[in-house]
Order: sequence, then C-alpha cells, then structure tokens
Amino acid sequence: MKDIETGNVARYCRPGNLEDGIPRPSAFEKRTGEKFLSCYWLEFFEKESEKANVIEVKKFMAKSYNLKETGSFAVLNIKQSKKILEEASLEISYREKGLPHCGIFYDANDLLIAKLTAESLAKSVQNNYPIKDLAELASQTISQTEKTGDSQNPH
Amino acid sequence: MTQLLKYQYKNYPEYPNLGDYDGAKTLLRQDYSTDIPQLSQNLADSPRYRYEVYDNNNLERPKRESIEIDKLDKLSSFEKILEYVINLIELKDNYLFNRIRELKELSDADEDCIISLESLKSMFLFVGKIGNFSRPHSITVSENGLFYMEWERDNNNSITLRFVRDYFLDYVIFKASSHIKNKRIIFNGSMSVMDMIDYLNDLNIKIHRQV
Repeated sequence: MKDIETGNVARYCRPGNLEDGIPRPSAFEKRTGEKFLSCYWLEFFEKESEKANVIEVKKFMAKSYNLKETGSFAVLNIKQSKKILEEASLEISYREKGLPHCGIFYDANDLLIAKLTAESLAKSVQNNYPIKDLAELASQTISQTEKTGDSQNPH
Repeated sequence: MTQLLKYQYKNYPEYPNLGDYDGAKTLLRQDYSTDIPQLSQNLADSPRYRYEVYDNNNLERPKRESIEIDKLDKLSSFEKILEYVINLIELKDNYLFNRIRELKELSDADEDCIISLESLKSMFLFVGKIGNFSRPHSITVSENGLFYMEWERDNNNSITLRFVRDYFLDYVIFKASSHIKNKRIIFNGSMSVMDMIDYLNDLNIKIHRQV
C-alpha cells in the first residue's frame, strides 16, 4: 500500500454523526473489525475546485452506497491533519486502498484521534459539504450546461 | 399527575388550575371513561404519562427513584429503556430525550447503522447518576451504533465520552494547564461509568452545573 503525502481526502459523515450540521468525533470512528478509516482522495478526480471533486466522490460512492441527503462530506487536508496529530505526539498515515479510495491508518487511541480530527475540521468549517448542497450544485451545473448547449444550438 | 395536569393545562383551558385535583379527576373520567385505578395502570404502562396521586394539601413531592443497573439490565428494547429512564432523569429542557429520539429515527432510516442498546444504557446510567448537568455540546451516534456526548467550553477545556457495553466508557478530556499558558493536558482512556463520575470530581470538572 502506497502512502499519500499531499492533497485532501473526503469522508462521508452520516446524519447521526452531525450536530447542527457539523461532523463530531463519532464521524471518525473506525468500523468494527476495520484497520483504517475509509476516505476518498480528492485530487484523483482532477476537477477545477474542491467542491467539484467532492461531487465526484459523491457520484462514485453513490454507485455502491446509500448516501443520505442529510449527511455531509468532511474534507481533511492530509498535511494539516498529520501536523495537528503530531502536536499531540500521535502518528497517522494516509494510504491508497484502490484509488480514489484510501484509508487513514493509526495505532493510537481511536477516540483521541477522532476528537482531534473533528477539532481540526471545526477550525476550518468551510471544509464540510452537506450532501443536500452538493445535489443543488450538481443540478445547477447540469442546467448551466444545458443552457450553454441551447445557446450554441439555434434549434 | 404533574405531567398530566400540564397536558391538561395546554389542551383543556377549562381546567386552568393546575392544583385542581377534583377537576382533573372529572377530566380523566370524561376523556377516558374509566375508573381512576384502571387508568392509573394504563398510564403507568404508557411511556408518555406518569400518574401519581398526592394529597393536594401536602405539597411535598414524591422522592424520585434512582436509576438502577439491575433494572436497566432487564430492558431489551429502545422504548423500554427510554420509558424507564424518562421519569428518573430530571432535566431543564427536553433536549436529551428529543435528541436521542432523533438519533434513533436517523438510525432506523439507515440500514448500516444500528443503535447499541448497551451503549444507550451506559449513557443513561452516567446521565442518571451525575445528576442535573449542563446541556452537552453534542450527542451523536457512530456507525457502530455507539453514543457520544461532548461538553466543550473552549479548545482547552472539553470532555468527550463514548459509551460502550457493560456500563463502561471511553473518554478524552482536555484540561487547560495551570502552569503553561494556552497549553492543555490530555487525559484519555477507558473506565466504568461510575468511576468516571468520581474521576471528574477528582479533576474538579463540573459538568453537572452550568459553566
């Protein structure tokens, strides 16, 4: 498994993980029996903006996963999140798990990791994308494309 | 009776006097067409109402029963657990129970997330034993169905609890250093719910009063 050192990852947060729309530490708990926290590497999609990349993650996940409209995607910067955890003498690594899928690996107390990860996210609230907003943005993009197509086509 | 009368006050303005016991009895007879003892049993079985008869001239309230592990152990459904604790935990507002019901509904709508009743029992034991506490910053449920509670004053003062089975919990406590400015001490680990209450007292952290 290859380590990922730069870029950003998106993690799907269930509605029950959110309070007032903000992901809390429960969003970053490893599933029972799993050795890593599942997430998606945004730079894989090579879109023009972070939000556009998150929309691609949503589309990718929706193929095999029932995403809830009231859920959200938390975006974590790989370097920043590692730095925040290093300050607490904790080590995590981001590794490829069949891109765009990747995993956050760590051995430390998972509740502490979850708390610090949620805290780092709370410091940059713009990196939380409610799925409802993504759906609106995606439909706007489609309607804009249709309008452009209409103007180019006189018929 | 207290809750019933509150319900009455809201829905039956013709009985505006909350202390009007005779009026309440009439109301009960009229609306339920049943004798009081039978109604008492019905209400006792209902999760919404608690029926207590007390002497109108003696305003001393009946003492609340304390939450007990033996009784929690015997409960095997979400509704039964909630029904048991709802009258034992005194709160300033309905946030806790409303939020827990909301989380249950979200969990029911999500086939990949099933609420852990063991975690729920541990959380209620903690809440029931610690007494009148300030409103948590958040209550959430993880994908594994475990309940989380957080109290947060600022970056350097917070408590995060994750309730697991057997009345245990995992915890992360941030406490501001008394000696180094803008530094925090991090406590984390796992212990029983009852030990955590002692531990919070030892650390002089008071979540059971308004900060």
